[in-house]
Amino acid sequence: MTGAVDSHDGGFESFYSAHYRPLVRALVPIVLDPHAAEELTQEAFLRAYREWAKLSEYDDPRGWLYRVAMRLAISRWRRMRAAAAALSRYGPTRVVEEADELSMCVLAALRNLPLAQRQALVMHHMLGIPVAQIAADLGVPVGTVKARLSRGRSALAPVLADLRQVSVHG
Amino acid sequence: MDEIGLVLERVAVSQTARMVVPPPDMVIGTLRRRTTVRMVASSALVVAMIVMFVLALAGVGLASEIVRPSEQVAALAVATR
Repeated sequence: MTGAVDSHDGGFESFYSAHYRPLVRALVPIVLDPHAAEELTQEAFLRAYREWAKLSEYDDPRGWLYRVAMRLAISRWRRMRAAAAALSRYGPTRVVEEADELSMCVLAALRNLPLAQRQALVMHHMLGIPVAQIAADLGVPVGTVKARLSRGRSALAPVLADLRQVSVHG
Repeated sequence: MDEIGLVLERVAVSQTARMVVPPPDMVIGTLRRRTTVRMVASSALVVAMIVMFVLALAGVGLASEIVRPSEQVAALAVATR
């Protein structure tokens, strides 16, 4: 293990500090497991560090980092799907720690959505990425992203309506 | 950020409230360890291939020593008589 980040890593440390937490947070609603989100984040940063000489010259290395993380999330999901039969014997995926009631409701709704829809929702609504950019990043047609967003919104609509009611009455 | 974004953000924040950001050295250390492991593995493969090649050559050499040409065997037999 090294003592400190070398001086030739110019800017990596500040890039890491600025984006580590937001990236984990963006991945949590997608992979529905904070520990997995952290692992994916670390892997994405590992790849960023490997490419840092090139990335540091980019206007927006954050975009590259998020794209890699999203692809890693898809790869993880594929691996998990392959192991789903074995995992199903042990019940649902790890339940998140100390979730408040709102989070539990939203997480339950998200759990019923396919990963692609959760990903589209997070990228568009949470990260504010335009539909066309999401389509380019994920390598799918714009119409597919729109359909995923629409289905995702429809699935979350009852939960959001409940939340609105709760906030009005309570 | 719109309503869905805010809700997703809130969920994510609640799930990562106790998260501690590991130092960047950890990421770099992992990368270096991986590189070392990969290097050792590929070196071991090269060494194993060289050893196998040498053993194969030695095997061929031994085989040619053991199986002598028939003329040589006949000459030896004559000389022995």
